[in-house]
Order: sequence, then structure tokens, then C-alpha cells
Amino acid sequence: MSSFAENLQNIDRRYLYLTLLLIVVIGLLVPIPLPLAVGPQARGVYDAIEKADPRKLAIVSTLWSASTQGENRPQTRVIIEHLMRRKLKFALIAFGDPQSTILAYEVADELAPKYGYKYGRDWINFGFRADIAGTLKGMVRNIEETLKQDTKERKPLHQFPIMKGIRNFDDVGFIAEVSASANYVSWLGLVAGSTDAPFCYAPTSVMAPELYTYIDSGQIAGMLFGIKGAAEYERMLGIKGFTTRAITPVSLTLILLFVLIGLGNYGMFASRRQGGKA
Amino acid sequence: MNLQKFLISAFPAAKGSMIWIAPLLVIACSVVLFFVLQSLPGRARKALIASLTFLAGLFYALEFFWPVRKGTDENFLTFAVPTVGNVINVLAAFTLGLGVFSLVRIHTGKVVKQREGWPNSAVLLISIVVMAVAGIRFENTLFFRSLFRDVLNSFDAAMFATLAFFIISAAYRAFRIKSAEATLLMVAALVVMLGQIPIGQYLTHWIPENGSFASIFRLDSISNWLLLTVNAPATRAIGFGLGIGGLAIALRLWLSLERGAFFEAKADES
Amino acid sequence: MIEYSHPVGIWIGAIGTLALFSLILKENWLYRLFEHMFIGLAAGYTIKAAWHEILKPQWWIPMTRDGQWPWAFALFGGFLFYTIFTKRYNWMSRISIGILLGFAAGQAFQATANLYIPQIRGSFKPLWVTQSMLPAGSQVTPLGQSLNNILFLVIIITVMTYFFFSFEQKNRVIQSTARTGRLMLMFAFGAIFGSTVMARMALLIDRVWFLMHRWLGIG
Repeated sequence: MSSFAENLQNIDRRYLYLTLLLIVVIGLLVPIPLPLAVGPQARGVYDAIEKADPRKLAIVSTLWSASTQGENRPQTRVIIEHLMRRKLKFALIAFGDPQSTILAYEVADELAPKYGYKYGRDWINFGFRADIAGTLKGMVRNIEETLKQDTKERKPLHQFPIMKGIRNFDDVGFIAEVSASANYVSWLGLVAGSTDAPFCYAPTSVMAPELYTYIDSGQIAGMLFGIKGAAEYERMLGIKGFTTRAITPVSLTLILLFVLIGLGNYGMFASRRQGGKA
Repeated sequence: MNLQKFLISAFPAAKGSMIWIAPLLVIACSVVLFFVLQSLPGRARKALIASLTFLAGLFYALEFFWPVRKGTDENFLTFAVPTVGNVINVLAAFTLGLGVFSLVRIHTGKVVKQREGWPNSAVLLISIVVMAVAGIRFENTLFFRSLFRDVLNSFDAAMFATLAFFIISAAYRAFRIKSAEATLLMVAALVVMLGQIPIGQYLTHWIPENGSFASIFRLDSISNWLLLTVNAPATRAIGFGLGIGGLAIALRLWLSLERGAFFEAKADES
Repeated sequence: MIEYSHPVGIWIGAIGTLALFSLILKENWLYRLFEHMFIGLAAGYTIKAAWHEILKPQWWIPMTRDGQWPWAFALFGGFLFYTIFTKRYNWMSRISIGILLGFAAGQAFQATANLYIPQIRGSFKPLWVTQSMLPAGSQVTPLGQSLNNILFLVIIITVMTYFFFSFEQKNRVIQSTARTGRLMLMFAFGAIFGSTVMARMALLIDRVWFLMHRWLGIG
């Protein structure tokens, strides 16, 4: 008969799945009213938008699909909402994953009526491009020559009032990339140096730790650390959106993870003491 | 005459019926070129691929290294950067179809020969057609919007969400603290993540957020310190290695020095 | 405002989500059915995006409306990719692949310089920090910042030593430096491990919220 210690190492995976699911459901239904401290990285994004020149264009670049929408959609939403609050004109552009152009467009389109934003006058969708490096190199020289037309009305860019006086990255005042991939390599490698615009990044949590080196060097002005970064931003904007609710189950599931790792290890040590299988 | 003017005069825009005739002539030339290419011996094929790869790389390399004209930030190649960017995009867009073509080829074969699982293959082929037709012909309809958001997005998100179950199970079964390295990894994960979530932050919430020396002992401060002062230099050191390695690979690709089945074997076949 | 969702779509999405989740218990026919449907829809959407977002505006319209006939050569370049599916002509696909790789390689010089020079510059931190060198409102004391900077430099050197494989690490000093580097890497990997779990949980929470809120109307 297996000992309690050995059993602790071999809990049936179905119980683990059920516990995880229950914790998520309970966490979503009963949010724990604990405030989330706003970190300096999220504050960096906020400050960059606050200081952005309203005469210049802001660019929100996206590379995410629905597979990471749990993190990237709320990140896109809070950045766009802040841009709209500040009455900054902005353009959307998508790279890498073709889904992201519609996903980001939907977010902006749903927020637009709330802030009286009109397509073509206050915001525009540049659409999806398969190759980021070639496109960015071209945009550094001439945005319209590279992109030709928007993706909603499919009209030449110069026909939109928002593009008046916008030629290249000299006329861009803020850049944010919401991404599930390492696009920052192209942005920092090919655009940095051609513009004074601060570059902010909103990656999935998986990627966030690798970006602190660019925050340290000042190449990235601010960052939203996955879903937690979006939740911090919601707090700064005073919004109670999806991430404000989701941060409770996020917390609970992480605690579950550490408890399970602890149980497994306790089982291993206890089993070793009893001379059993570790 | 500069390069830009020369190119404009060499390739004037077609007008009238020539708008259609000129591309058709190019396509006819392409067919001839295709058979000319196929008649090349193995060595010439390799040389051709190496030359075109080198020329493509040379464009961006020269554009970056060549001195700019006085009073501008442009040199003789800068004017072509947007067009070259578009050419890359168009070529890259053609590659997007490669995966779809491969899927259609495999699953059509399965359906035609009624191999095991052919009804699923039929569903896959129907889904491709429905989404492509809805997207291209009925883009501005609720049908396409709902198909994209409610169906495709849901399936995509669900596929990846299953990883949450597997990662919990795997971490529980495999994460055993048997060495100093594993202990450090566990401690770092615990402290960093506790500092990122409200429940963890609550443990040290009684320490003031700002204006006190004690603030640095808040869990969120410790987490941030670990990420910026311990994690950042470690990832930076990895990054330096990646940067040098990436540049070396780029040079090898550019100069066609890369060896292996892809670059060597096939061109030799004639 | 434009509607993006329809109840029928939400029902199909919810049933599909549950079917795809069923994989965690056992692979089954329902999972495979919805998996194929997902792949088909994603592939179909790729066709739409490639045509609508890139080929039509950047290739077809300039060629057929603006008279820019040289774009027809791009069709040949694009066609060459597809020779990869034939045994006789597949070597030609490498012409187009080579051109794309060449462009990427040419961009690497600028990208590497712009990406890493600020990183190298940022690694040379002052090891003795005075009050005047700290930004206004900084919470850290000059001594604390000095220690941070020394630690930062030590970690970079030790981790780089760990990855230095050009010669065998026999010297004791180098061995212990490399060992320290490996321990420091564990801190970084620990942070990445924790954040990876957080990312996966966020995806699950998003799906559960979809099922609860948008499908069942709870919450």
C-alpha cells in the first residue's frame, strides 16, 4: 500500500484540473478586494502617453492573435483608451499574425463612440503587413509610400485628415507595441534613432522578464507586464474592466501552483525520510 | 542622372490597354525564364541563388553603410527603401499561402481516397472555403464578424488555454527541489510572482509604498528589484551572445556560406 | 455601433471551446472535429488577410490600376515558392527564399547595431554613485545604487563567462565565476517560469469568462 507521502506526489490529474477550474470560476465570481500596486513600468507607459505631443501621430502596433487575447486584448484596450482620453490621434498597424489587425480594430471601434473618435479624422487602421522589418524601414522614410492605403475604407492615406502633415517617424510622438512575439527587436533595431518618440511595450507575461534589460538601458520607456500590467493600467485609468476582475483568479491560480509544487516536494522529502520512492 | 530617375524612365507606367498587356507580357517572359532556369546545370543554379541572395542583402547593407548626402539623411539608395519593403511584403504574402496549399493538398487526398479520418478533412476543407469566401466577399457582414470573433477566436483561444491545465500538472509532477539551482529557481519564481499579485503584495502592504527606507522591503519592490538588477543583467548577457550569433548567421546566409541539406543538396540535382 | 457577435456564433464558440477542452481528459472524436474546423478557419482567414491586406493593395491595384507592370515579376517570385511541392523544380523555391533571407541578412547590420550598442553602453554603470547622480525623487540611497550597479556588472560578467565555450574552463577562478553565472541565470529562469504560468492562467481565465459571461450570462 502506498504511503501518504507517496500519494502526495501522485494526485490524480483530474483532481488538479477540477481544482484549477473551480478556483478560476470562484475567483471570477467573488473578486478579492485587494488593491494592486502600480509598478514603475506601467507608470512609464502612462507617463509616455501623458507627455506625448498631441500634434503628432501615436502608433499602436499589434502582433497577437486570439490565442493570447487573455493578456493582449486588455493591454490593447487600456492603451487605446488612454490615447482617446488624451485626444491623441493614433494609427493601428499589425504585423506577423493576420488576426491582430481585426482584433485591434475591434477594440478601437468599440471604444470610439465613448470618446467621440471618428475614423479617418482621429484614428486610422494601417492594416496588416507580413514583414515587419521591410515595412518599418520603409515607414522610416515615408509612411504613405510604404503603406499606400488604410484597411477599412481602402483609400489612399493622404485622403484622410488624420494623415495631414504626417510623413514619416519624425511626425510620430508615441509608439506602443502589444505583442505575443519578439517584435521589439525590429522596432528598436530599425526605428530607434529615426524618431524621438518613446517606445512602450506590452508583451505577454512569458516575454516580460526578458525585456527588463531594455528598460534598464532606456530603450523601452514603459512596459505592461502581461495581464497584471493591464490591471495596473486599469487602476491608473480608474476603469474596472476584465483584468481588474481577472487579477483575483490570476493570484489564486499562482498560489495553487506554489501549493502544488510544495506538496509534491513535501511528499518527496517525507518519502525519502521513510526510505520510500522519491 | 540619378538612380531614381533612371529607374522611372526605364520602367514607365503603362497606360490604356497596356495596363493589361504589359503584365501579361511579363508573365509570358516568366514562363520562358522558368524553363531557362530549369535548363541550368547544378553549379550555375548554386551561383544564381548565391548571387541573388547576396544582391538582396547588399541593398540594405549598402543603404545602411553608405554615407548620406550633405544636409540630408539619405543616400542614393534610400529612395527605394519603401518599394523594396513592399516587394518583401508581397513575396512574404505569397508564402502565407504555402501552408494553406499544403493543407489543401494533404486533406483533399484524404477525402478523395476516403482514408481514416476523412470526414474531419472534409470539415477542414469546408472551413477553409467558408472563411475565405466570407472574408473576401462578405467582409462587412455580421456573418463574417461573428465567424471571426465568436467562432475562430474562441477556438484559437481555447486551444491555447488548455496549456494552463497541462502546465499546472507538469509543474506539480516535475518541479522537484533537488539542487541549489532548482532551489534558486523556485525562490525567484515565488518572490517575483508574489510581488506581482495583490494577494502577495498584501503580505507587506503595511510598509509604506513611498517615502520611506522600508519601502524597499515591500514584496512588489523586491520583485521589481530582482527583475531589474538580477534578471536584467542575466538576460542581457544571454542577449549579447544571441546578438553575436545572430549577426554571424546573417553573414553566413548573406554570403551563402551556410551548409546543409537545404542549401547544398537540392541545387546539385538536375 | 457595429455588432461583432451573434448568439449562434457564441453557441458554436462555446461548444467548440468545451470540445477543445475535452482534450485534457482524453483525445476524442469531438476534439478532433473542432480541431480540424479551427485549422480550416485559421487557414481560410490567412487567405483573406493575404489578399485583402497585402496582395490587393500593394500588388494587384498598383499593377492593374496604376500601370506599374513590373509588379508582375512578383507573381513569378511568389510562384517559385510553390515549386517546393514538386520534386523536379523544387530547387527554384530557393531563389525566392534566398532573396528573402538576403534582405533579412542585410537588415541585420543596422538592427544589431541599434539594438545592442545602447545595451553595451548601459552596462558601463558607475560603480560609485553620489547623490547628484541619482534621479530626483529616487528611493535608493547612493550606497544602495552603487551596490546595485556592482551586482549588475558582476552578473553580466559571470553569466557571459558561463556561456564562454571557446576554451575548456579549467581555471578555478573561471570555474567558480561560471558557476556563479549559472546560479544567477536560475534567478532569471525563475522569473520567466513564474510569468509563463501567469500567462497561461490568463488565457484560461479569458476562456472561462467567455463561457460564464458571454455564453451563460453569469457575472
